[in-house]
Amino acid sequence: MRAWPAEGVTRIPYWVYSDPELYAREQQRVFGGPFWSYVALECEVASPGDFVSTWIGEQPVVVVRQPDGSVRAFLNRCAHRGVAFCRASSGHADELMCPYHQWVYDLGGNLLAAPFRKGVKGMGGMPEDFTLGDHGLTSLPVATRHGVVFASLGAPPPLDEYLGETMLGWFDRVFDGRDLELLGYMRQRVPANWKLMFENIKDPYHASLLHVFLVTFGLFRADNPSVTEMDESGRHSVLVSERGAAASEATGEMRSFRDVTLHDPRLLDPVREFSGSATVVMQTLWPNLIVQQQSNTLAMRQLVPRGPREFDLMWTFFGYAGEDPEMRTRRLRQANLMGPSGLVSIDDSEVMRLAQLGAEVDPDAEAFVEMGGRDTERADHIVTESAIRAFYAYYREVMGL
Amino acid sequence: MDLFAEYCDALDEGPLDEWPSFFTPDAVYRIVARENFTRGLPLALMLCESRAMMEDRVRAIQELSMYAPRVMRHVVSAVREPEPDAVTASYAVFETPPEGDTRVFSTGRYLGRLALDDGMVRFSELTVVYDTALIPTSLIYPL
Repeated sequence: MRAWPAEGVTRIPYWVYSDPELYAREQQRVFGGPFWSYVALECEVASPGDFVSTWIGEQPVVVVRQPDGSVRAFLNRCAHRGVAFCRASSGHADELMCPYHQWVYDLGGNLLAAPFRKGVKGMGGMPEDFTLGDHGLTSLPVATRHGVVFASLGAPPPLDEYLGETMLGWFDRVFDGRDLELLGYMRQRVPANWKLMFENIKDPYHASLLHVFLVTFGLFRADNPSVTEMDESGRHSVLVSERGAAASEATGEMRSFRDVTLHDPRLLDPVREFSGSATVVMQTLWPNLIVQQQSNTLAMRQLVPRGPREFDLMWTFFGYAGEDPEMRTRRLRQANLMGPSGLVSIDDSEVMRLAQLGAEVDPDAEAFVEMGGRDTERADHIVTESAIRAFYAYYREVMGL
Repeated sequence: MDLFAEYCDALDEGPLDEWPSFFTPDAVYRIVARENFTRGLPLALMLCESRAMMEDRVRAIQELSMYAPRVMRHVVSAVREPEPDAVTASYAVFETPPEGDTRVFSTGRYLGRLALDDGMVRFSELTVVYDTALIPTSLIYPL
């Protein structure tokens, strides 16, 4: 493995975005480590037998609602020959069956039947000591909090301890115990390393410049009151800001600023719905989740790495069960800002692709990350890259770099 | 159906400002993932609830968004009118970046409602249901 630059986390060597050995180690240590990965919302598997298939890192996982109401997660891998037996992205089943040799599991992952295990007409069959109970699906640790389901390929600490007090506070602001309503999905494949997605959300500096749409309509501005905050380990972070006025001092340095008004103002008609003054809270939770609250649009963005040079971003938009139809309409309308066609997030997908192109050609060159100083501490503003530095400080620890 | 030929020509050859003119003033335009559509989930990838909102989308594409240049090409087939004032069709859209390596960007179908508006046949509703669930990088232009 190559050596990290001597300057530390104020530099990011470009090989972290393309090195195949490093990527393989990430699968083991980051996605396979003792961490809680986001896998589903409980409302996606509302009734016993409902399932969704998802991923932790590259590992296919299936999340299943149990007859007793609990939620469990299994590797999407038959105990027989390793077939990823669940091919639908979601559905309902009374039992789980592998199509290859029709091994059948109950919803709890216990093997119920393996055809011909006692042979056919006295021929073949499994050895005498074959026991169904020894061949269940691989069950993963699961933790749920206020409608959100996490699972792990390792042995993580309790979820609240894992997230820490600071992150829990922001998490519970959106997930306050109300039942959630699934609004739908958006999915995209981005030709960039997965870490560039985290860097993007952990970098509020760019949002006030790249996203002309946000700035134009005052949704995110360098001079709006803001906070950049990390948990104790630095692996999780949150960016908090407030909607402000249109043109101001901070737009003076922005070459791309435009004075634009909407022909149909319904697109930007946000209503305050959470206590406190924040109107945008973007939380990144190690190792695979971004929780998005921008105005009234709420979504989980799940990161699925697809090799060092590509990742999939799975967007799950939601609201609250039983809320008034106007708020629901507002959420669906404001979804225009987000996703693969988002008036804001188009910029990010495009710029991540360009960042990958720039970084790949010279793996030994490095990025310069000193906005806001060289530290990894919280800041009461967004003119900083400290959350990126904090992320890489933790990443280096986990990865032994 | 000439309407689709002209519609696709406006999207592929521009100017993009012409795109809203294919709709009635209160038309609804939606691009919806097949998964959401079949499961009855209301989320759209792109949602314009009026011609004015389409004009805002065009303006944002032209002036506010950052993206690499690309050429889009629509191929529409199996145009049918299952009932009066309704139209359906299949589409494939190809994307070509400046480097020239064309790829399939999206396949799916159009579900449209038509109305006579100002002497012209226009869409009073157009839902684009896309099969290509994983959008390659980003969807800039309407389909």
